[in-house]
Amino acid sequence: MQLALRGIHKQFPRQNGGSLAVLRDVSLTLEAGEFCCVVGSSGCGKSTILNIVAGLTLPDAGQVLVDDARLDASRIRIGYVFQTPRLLNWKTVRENVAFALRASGTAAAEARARASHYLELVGLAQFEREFPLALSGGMQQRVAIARALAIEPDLLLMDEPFSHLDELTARALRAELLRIWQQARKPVMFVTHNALEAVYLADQVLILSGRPATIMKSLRVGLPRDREMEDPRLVALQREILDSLGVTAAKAGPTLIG
Amino acid sequence: MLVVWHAISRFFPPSLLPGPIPVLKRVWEIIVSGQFAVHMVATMVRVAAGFLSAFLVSIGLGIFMGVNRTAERFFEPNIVVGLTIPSLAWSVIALMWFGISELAPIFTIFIVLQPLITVNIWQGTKALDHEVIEMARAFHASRAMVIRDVVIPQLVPFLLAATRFGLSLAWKVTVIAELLGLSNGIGYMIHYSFGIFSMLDVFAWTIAFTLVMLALEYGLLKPLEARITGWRRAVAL
Repeated sequence: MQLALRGIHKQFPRQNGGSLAVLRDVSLTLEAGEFCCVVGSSGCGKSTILNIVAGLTLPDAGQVLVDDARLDASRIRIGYVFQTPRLLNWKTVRENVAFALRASGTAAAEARARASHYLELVGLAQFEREFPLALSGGMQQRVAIARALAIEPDLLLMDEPFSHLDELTARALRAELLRIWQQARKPVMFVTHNALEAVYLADQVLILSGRPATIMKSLRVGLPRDREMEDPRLVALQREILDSLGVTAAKAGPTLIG
Repeated sequence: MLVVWHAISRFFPPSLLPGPIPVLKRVWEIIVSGQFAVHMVATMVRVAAGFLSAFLVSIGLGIFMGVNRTAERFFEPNIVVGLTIPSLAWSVIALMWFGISELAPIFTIFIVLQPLITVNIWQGTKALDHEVIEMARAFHASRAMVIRDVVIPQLVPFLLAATRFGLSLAWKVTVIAELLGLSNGIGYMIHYSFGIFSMLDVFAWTIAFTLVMLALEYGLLKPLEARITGWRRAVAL
């Protein structure tokens, strides 16, 4: 499946009656099976792009095209992983994953079985009967990832899913995500403000300007998989991204946040 | 508490402050004679009818106010006025409107409880976590699923709180209405005991009634709450 955004504009009304332009003429193409990272500073409208793709927000202008409009964008299966886990705390871990499956029309018994399978995939098999609040933040985010994968999505959307986790947990989850993605080979659109994370994960990195956001630059990461985050070639690419975002070495350390 | 009561009661004549032993004896008497059950049932029926009607109307109205700004602005003054009118005033008004009938106490309970419960559910609706609702929409959950699995579980703590204080207020309101103009129920019996100036009976009826309330709270409401909100007790690893 190929996904394309063509000339997306979006503005939000403000309290004082004016409007805030968030996206200006955003166009991008996501090839089948491609891992695409969208990098930009905080609050520049990255999440809005994902919400438009997911159909949660309507663009003011522009189109979301699937396979050159041969498919209806609102009909594809989308797995969404948010910045925070957004679990239903009153349901067990397995019920949380099954919820997404039930929502997409899977029968109850099959939903339970598939939920268990995907929880095993993210290493949480023994916690499936626990309630989310009994789990650490990293484990809760794993549940959210299992939930997004369980519906066997045509497209995976991830909105800074590791930004609230400590770096050790985040590293482990990044490696795991790549392992799962290499098996499933579904396109991923991954939003982050962490340039190093982007070059570690992505085939294609899109750099967004500040508000209103537009795509300033597109970068191909041609390095083979099994990358190391400390690889000097990745660090050089990270430098390139930071330069385009206008961050100088004096202003930020090697792993820029924000 | 019983010991203190016993000690203090020794300094007063039994017509003003009877001791715990004669009072508990009398509690036992009114229970075995069957009198207590008759009046307790009369009171309970009124409470149940008034409380349930107020609860159902408040759920609808509270949710409506929580999701609709116009409804919120329209009903808010009514709620504030409703909260201010004393329940005694409503009791008198209801008795004058409906006369000595079952409708009077039930109406009083309804009209006193409704604004209080509505406020609670309205606030609960406003406090809903919209992020998880958005999550459900992103996974294409149907409206029925969103309401059943995402919205109602978030309202449960508010519904439980409303049940608890709504019930406790309902008992008090009923007893006032019974005291003012009915011919049975716990409130009537307390009033009757006052008429024959028997402090012993006033105490006995009040205590017997309180024991039933405590049994309801600890035997029914608390365990129900623990069951429904068990997920909150989970402790992070």
